Amino acid sequence: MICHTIRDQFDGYLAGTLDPAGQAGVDLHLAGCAECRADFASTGFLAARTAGLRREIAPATDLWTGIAPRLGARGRRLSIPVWWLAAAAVVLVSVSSALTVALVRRPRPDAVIGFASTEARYQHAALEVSGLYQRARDSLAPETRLVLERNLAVIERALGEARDALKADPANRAIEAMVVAAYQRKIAFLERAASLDRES
Amino acid sequence: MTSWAIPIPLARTAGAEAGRAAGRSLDPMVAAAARGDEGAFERIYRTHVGRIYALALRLADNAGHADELTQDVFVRTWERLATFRGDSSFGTWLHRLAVNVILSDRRSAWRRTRRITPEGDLIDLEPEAKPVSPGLRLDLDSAIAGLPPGARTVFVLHDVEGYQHGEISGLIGIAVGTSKAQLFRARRLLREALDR
Repeated sequence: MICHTIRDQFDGYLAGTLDPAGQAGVDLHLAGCAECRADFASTGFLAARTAGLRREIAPATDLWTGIAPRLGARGRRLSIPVWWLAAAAVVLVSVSSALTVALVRRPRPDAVIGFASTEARYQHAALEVSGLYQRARDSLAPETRLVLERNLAVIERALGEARDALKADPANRAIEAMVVAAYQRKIAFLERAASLDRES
Repeated sequence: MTSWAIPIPLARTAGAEAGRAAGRSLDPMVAAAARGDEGAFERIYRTHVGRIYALALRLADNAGHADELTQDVFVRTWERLATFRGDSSFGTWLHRLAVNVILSDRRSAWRRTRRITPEGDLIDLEPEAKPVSPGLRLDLDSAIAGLPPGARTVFVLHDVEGYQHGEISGLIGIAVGTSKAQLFRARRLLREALDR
């Protein structure tokens, strides 16, 4: 017999679960193999000691204090309800639309500041919150990032289309309002996306 | 049409509900923790920490690392609790999860230090057993701590925790024959250390 097949039977031999023929095979092999005899002796030597090992050992310090804070952080990230985000999106769109309407209807103070400077301010603000989001994005779950960025791409596309329309018709105040609304949507969305990190 | 829905990983109670649908009832403490009750989860921790810490301590390099691993196990348990369906006892499920977390940590550590060979099972490149001062009588736990990592892992899983070589092979990613070889190597080293 080959040594390794004999060694496979040591535990059964010691537990008394080997049939007589198996036991005799092990005995016969051990009589002529010093290496297996040594392994058999080690197995028997350790069996009782291993059974006496403590099954439970109390840590020296209370580990819960390092666990509890990590539960909050991860648990909350899992519990962002879809309906809440959907409601937030509806509120966001409604508020920005109302603001846009108010801006369009308000008599303009004869445009000391042209739309270009207005847009520059929005661009600056968008850049700032985009930086906030970029810093936060690594700590968001990959699937969350994916959806956020897909939605952001939709907002960017809408903004791009509004700006293109304004280029084609620069005097059109309704289109200016659309561009402003698109910037507001983008800024609010990025602010919300950046804050997901703090909530998670 | 734009989708504004952010996908949420599996609802916290999905596994528990599946378990109930299959006619199994969960321990109320486990069910409460699965619903996000941190108080219930702390009671689970208090109940099981000794068992998990004993496992971590025997597989880790030192007590500090065992502390970290134990904490990681319970954080992972919290995250995965919703997937517990009650197919096995909670203690068994937790223990299996703990083994996976601890071995995953070990694999990461090994990947950083080991050379890769076509066989993937290295014995000789592992650190040698920690030397024992002559004349110092060891108890079994101290002797286990002195084993090289690979032999220690197999010994603890097989002889202490009762895993079979086939399971160990899958858990560690080594051949069954390597697992057996590591076990006998561990037993020889332990006997030598304890016989001194």
